[in-house]
This record gives sequence, structure tokens and C-alpha cells, in this order.
Amino acid sequence: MSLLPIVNSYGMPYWKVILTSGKEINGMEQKKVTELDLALKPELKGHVMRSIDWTLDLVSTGDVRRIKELHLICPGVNWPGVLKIKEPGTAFQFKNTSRFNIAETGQVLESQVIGRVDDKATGACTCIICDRFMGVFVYHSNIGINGNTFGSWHPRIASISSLALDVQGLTLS
Amino acid sequence: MADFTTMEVQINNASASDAIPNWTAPAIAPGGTGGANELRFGPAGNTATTGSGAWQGFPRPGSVSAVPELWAFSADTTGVKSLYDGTNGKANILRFHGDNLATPASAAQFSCFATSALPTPVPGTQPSSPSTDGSGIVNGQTTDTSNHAYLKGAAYGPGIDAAGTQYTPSAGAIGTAPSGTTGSAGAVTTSAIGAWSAWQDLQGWTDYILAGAQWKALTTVFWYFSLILFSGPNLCLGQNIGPVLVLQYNYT
Repeated sequence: MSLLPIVNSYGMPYWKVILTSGKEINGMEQKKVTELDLALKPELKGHVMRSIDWTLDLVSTGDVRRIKELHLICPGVNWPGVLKIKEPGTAFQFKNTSRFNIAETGQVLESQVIGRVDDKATGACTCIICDRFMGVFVYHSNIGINGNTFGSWHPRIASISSLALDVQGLTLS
Repeated sequence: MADFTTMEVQINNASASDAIPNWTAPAIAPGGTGGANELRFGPAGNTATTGSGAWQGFPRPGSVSAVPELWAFSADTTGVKSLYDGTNGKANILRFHGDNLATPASAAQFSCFATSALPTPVPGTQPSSPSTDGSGIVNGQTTDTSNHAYLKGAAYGPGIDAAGTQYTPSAGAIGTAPSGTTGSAGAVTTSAIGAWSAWQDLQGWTDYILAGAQWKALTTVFWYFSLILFSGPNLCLGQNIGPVLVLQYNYT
């Protein structure tokens, strides 16, 4: 079955996962606030709905180890970038953002990154990035172990030394 | 998404003190137009109701010297003067404040750029006068700043660390007073605990400040920092040459 292009009218890139069960979860979904949510995030008290959260909904539930595919959905009408996840605990994603002050004020989402650790021993990883200036591209790097750094893909993105394994749900052993 | 809902810059009100700071108002949140939500450097003579269009500029000095005042404006003519005085004499000047809704994915960093497009700085290159962006301040100049940015910064530890410990500075001077030529290539990484970093020039991701620890998820963060803006005889002229202060971070 071939992938169809996806219409993303949100105006910003986001991630989607397909679990081994076939269930799909994407980063733009909204869901009802549960008792477990309130226990983990007391500040949600009074809220009925909340955004899907990688750490809250995938890492805390263990579903992060049941990811079969990790997709990057870019704005507009595009085929998704897809990473097949063959080994549990190797999928990750993050967003890079800049907040401005003094001469200009505001915030902009610089990039949405999805990634897969290819070598748990060395930390080598493959990423697909949707960047607000560079568009979509593949980026090979390291999650920042064994003296390596994740680095940067553009001069306006500060070099990233390492990613937090716990909030990503990465298991390297 | 687990981003901060609130991530703002707070100033210590000049009516307070270094020992007993007042951070309550106004906080400068991202966004706003027409002079709202601005940090403004300037000489003595501006007031809390001076609009952005009437803001008195700092005359270009005959030798490199610090701009003496920093104000925060929540609206075009609603401002508060900060405790900033152009020296390193006080610790409680500025702080980033993020709420407890974010899940950071790596350590944060801050610096300055000419515009929000984050163009790569060109050290030592001054734009033609009159300039209309922050490139003059960010790029610096050979004689005035040894090609470092005119704006210097220092940060107190990482703000909070991965365990959620908050680091708050005591009143007093911040290290050795910087000069117009202060700066070093690459990142000045703060201590992982509570201590002032060295002064660093803020020149894009060429020279910048990096937090020495990643912030704990879902935890309020106050990251204390100070700035000193210098001007000099070789800085470009212009009515709006302020740099863009950029806090960049990653979240899940």
C-alpha cells in the first residue's frame, strides 16, 4: 500500500506515531484530561482537554517502546517523512524554538525533528527535520553520548550537545 | 506538545533594590506591536510614559562606554525603569521566567541577533548609517570591541537543574566588570550549580551563553542573567538598532 500525501492545515510541522497495535497518535491531537494526567501535571486542574504530549502519552505509558513507525508531517500537502522503528526505545522527537526580546518580541518554531537511534552503543542516529527555512531533509548525527554532540543543521540553530534520554523515552541498554 | 505557555523576561524594578528585588511588573512576554512588550536601552531623560517613537537615543560617545539605563514597557507608554545601571555592580537585574508546563529536551542557550530571522553575524562589519536593525551591535567593530558584540551578558548557573533545584543569586557584583572588548569564541557554559558565568559577548551562536544543566521537566524556572550594552565611536547610527535577544531551547 503506498502512502498518500497528507493535508496539514495546522501551519506547523508535527509528529505522528503508528504503534505495533496499529493505533495512531499524533502530536496535534487533543484528548480529555484524566486522573493520571492530573497526578503527573497538577497544573491541568480545571482543564477538560489537553494537547497530546510525547512524554505524558508515550513515555509514561510505555507506548514509546511500541512505536513501529515515526512520521513527520510538514505544513501544506506533503508525503510524510517516515522512520521505521525496528528496535524498541530508539524513537525520539523534539521541537526547536526561539523566543525573542528587546528589539523584537515573539516566538517562532524553528524545527520539528524526528529521529531514530541506529546504534545504541555509539549513539548514531538518523533524523528527518522540517526546518522553517531549510524545508525537509535528512540529518545524520549522534544523540550526544560517548563525547559526541547532536550538533546543528543551520547557523541560526545553536549546537545541541546532547538529548535527554529520559524525557525522550530512549533506552540504550 | 510540552512547551512553556509562559516564558517571559522579568526586570528588577529600579524602585526596589539588589538585596530585595521586585520582579512583579511588568513582565515582558513575547509578542506585541507598536511599542508594547519592549526592553529599551537609553540615556537618562526617558520616562515611564515615553513612547517608542519618542524614545531618546544614546548619543554615540567619543570612547567606548556603557548605555546607562534599561526600561521595560508592557505597552507603548507604560514602562518601568530597571535596576540596571550599565555596570556589573548588581546581581538582580533580569531573569527569564518559564512556567511548569514544558518538557525540555536539552540545555537552553541565549544570545543576540540582528533580527528574528537569526542571520549569521559578520564580526566587525558595521552596516551603513542609518541602520535599521541590530547588526551593528551584534557584529561589533574592530577598534571598539575587537569584533565582539557590543552587548555583553552573564548568567547565574543554569537557572534550575535536572533535579529541579532553583539557583538564585545573592546581591552584589557580577564578576569582573566587562569592557567593550570582552568576549570569547563559542559558548560560555554556566556552572551546573549556582555561580555567575564569565561575561560573554552575545553574537549569535558564534559567541553565546549555554546553560550548564538541562531544566527539569514540568518545573517553574527562573534563569537569572544580566546585560551591559556598550556603545562606541565606531558603532553605526540609527533610530532602531536594538538587537534581538534570543532564548533558544528544545522540548518534546
